[in-house]
Formats: sequence, C-alpha cells, structure tokens
Amino acid sequence: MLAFPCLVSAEIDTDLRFKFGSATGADEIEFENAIGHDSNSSGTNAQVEVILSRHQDSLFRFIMGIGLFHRHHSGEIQDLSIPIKVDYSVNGMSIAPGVRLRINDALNFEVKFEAGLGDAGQVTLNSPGVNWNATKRSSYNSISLIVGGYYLFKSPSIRVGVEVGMQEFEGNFEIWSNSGSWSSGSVSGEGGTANIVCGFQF
Amino acid sequence: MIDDACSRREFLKKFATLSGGALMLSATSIACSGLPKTALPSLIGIFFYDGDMQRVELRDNQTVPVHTQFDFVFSTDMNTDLHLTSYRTGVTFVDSNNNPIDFSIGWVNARTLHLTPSADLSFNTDYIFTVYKAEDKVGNPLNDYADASAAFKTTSI
Repeated sequence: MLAFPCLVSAEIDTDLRFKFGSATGADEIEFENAIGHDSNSSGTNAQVEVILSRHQDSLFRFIMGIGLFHRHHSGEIQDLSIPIKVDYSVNGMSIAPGVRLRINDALNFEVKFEAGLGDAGQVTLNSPGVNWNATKRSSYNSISLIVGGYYLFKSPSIRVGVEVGMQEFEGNFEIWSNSGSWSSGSVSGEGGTANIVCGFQF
Repeated sequence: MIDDACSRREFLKKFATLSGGALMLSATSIACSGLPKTALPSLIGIFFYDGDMQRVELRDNQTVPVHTQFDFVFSTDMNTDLHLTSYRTGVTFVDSNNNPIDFSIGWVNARTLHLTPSADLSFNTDYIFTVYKAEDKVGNPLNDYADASAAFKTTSI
C-alpha cells in the first residue's frame, strides 16, 4: 500500500447516463460511380454511457466515457437525377475521453472527444418509382467534439444536463448491383448535435 | 464537391491516426481516388397500354392485354441519338420459358422509350422485361443499383 499511495487514495466517481437527442444528418451518399448531396438532413441519437473520473478536489478532472448508442442519420439527396431519401441506422459503441471542469459540487462542465464505432449499419433508400436493390449492413465510424453542462442533485444523486457538439460520421453499406455482385457505398455527414442527459452518480 | 468530401475525410484520417487508430476509415482511399460525379439515370416507371390505349403503370405482376404496347420512363434526358440495335441500348423481352419476344423500340422523347411487340402476345403467359443498358445524354450508365425489370402476365382467353 505504501508503494502506491496515489492509487490507494484515489476513489473513482461513476456516472450512469442516458442521452437522447440529435445526431448529424446524412449529407452525402456515395456509390461506386456516383455521389449525391443532400439539402435537408436530420438525425437522432439514443445512448447509454458510463462516465468514470477519479475523485479529487481539483478544478479539472480527466474523465473517460464508454457507451452504447443507437443512431439514425437521414437525408434527402436532391442533386442526382432521382431524389433519394436516405436513412442510415446503426448500433455501436462509443469511447469518449475528456476533461471535467468542476465549478462546485453541483455544477460541472465537460469537454469530450467521442469516437463511435459500429459494424452493423443498415441503409434504406427510397426514390419515387425506383425499386432499389437489396442492401447489406456494414461498418460505421464517427467522431464528435462534445461540450456539456450538468447539474448534480445530491439526494438522490441525479445528474441532469445538456450536451451540444459537432459530429462527423461515415456509414458504409453494400448494395446489390445488376451486374451480379455486391457493390460498396457510404453515407456521410457532418454537423451539430444536441442531447439531453439524465443519470445517476454512484 | 468531391474535393470538399476528400478534405473532410483527410481530416478524419488524421484524427484517426492521432487518436491511436481507433477509427477505421477504410473508405477514405477509395472515396478520394477521383470518382466521376454522375447523375445516376434511373428507370422510374414501366407502363402498358390497355384496351382503350390508356397508359397504365405496370407493377406488382399486373395482368395486361395481349394486344398492347409499353413505355419505359427514365429520370433524366437519355441519349436518344443511338442506333437502338447497338450495344449501348439493351432491352430484353422474354416469356417464362426464356423465349425471346420480337419487338421494335423507339424514343418518344428524351425520357420515354416506347416498345411495340411485333405480334400479339400469348394469352395467360408470364413475361419479363429487363432494361440492361442505356445511358443519359452525357454518357452516364443506367443506375446499376435499382431494379430495371418488370414481370407481368397476360389476360386469360
């Protein structure tokens, strides 16, 4: 114990958080021989996250968030010869290192870089009069810069907050080609996000 | 537009590298290799003519008369300056035994291709069309990711 005084004295604060709000929309779709851009995009996010931080009385603390999310990225592609309504939905895992600014026991702010990874993103394409071929799930990745403000109620220890951020994502998919093979494609986007947070501090 | 997308992906790639390779941006190299931007011309409707020569959309294995004609409607102006028998415009029309049906085709306008069977079709028989090659005015090939075929059955006697 004498050899690791800092570890022995360190306590870990753990938050379990639920987040609901927006994700960035699908701005672009790319096939092997075509790229289309969006004029109206939107997205949704639902996430459960555990935030770990070392308990200490300093103004700043390093934090680490690990979570699971379900996201939808949508958009309407308008600059190809056919309009395409794109919906990309994905389940994935997030890792979010960051820093917490502790104003007082109740009021905190956090800045986090969040990396999101998924391996089962599903795209749905709809165009008037067009029967799109079958699609298959494929990989997904995203990065976000998130700034959040939180308030902790002491009894019980419930934390509520609001997060805003910038997000970029790329969701891949495969689509059957009439030439007789699977062809790769992707949906991507960048933009702002906003989420409401509620959770518990243990 | 492609340049914008590439710069964004380059930023993502750098971020992925800096963050210890946590992100896998496998599409980056493909996406920035100089793709042409195309219009993705698509077949957006197949129609048949009923007994009153009214145009009816062909969908869901509809029953059609044996004496009929068909229209194929495209999403954008197509290259009509083609010899229709050339390799660049291809429509197959076969029955359920894969026997080819004789027909003639011609462009009504830049977006509509008209097909006329050389003779009345057989009663109570399944047929299928497939448009397998066409191109728009600037040479973009037909959308390869959407169904460009239609099946139907003719009326019983």
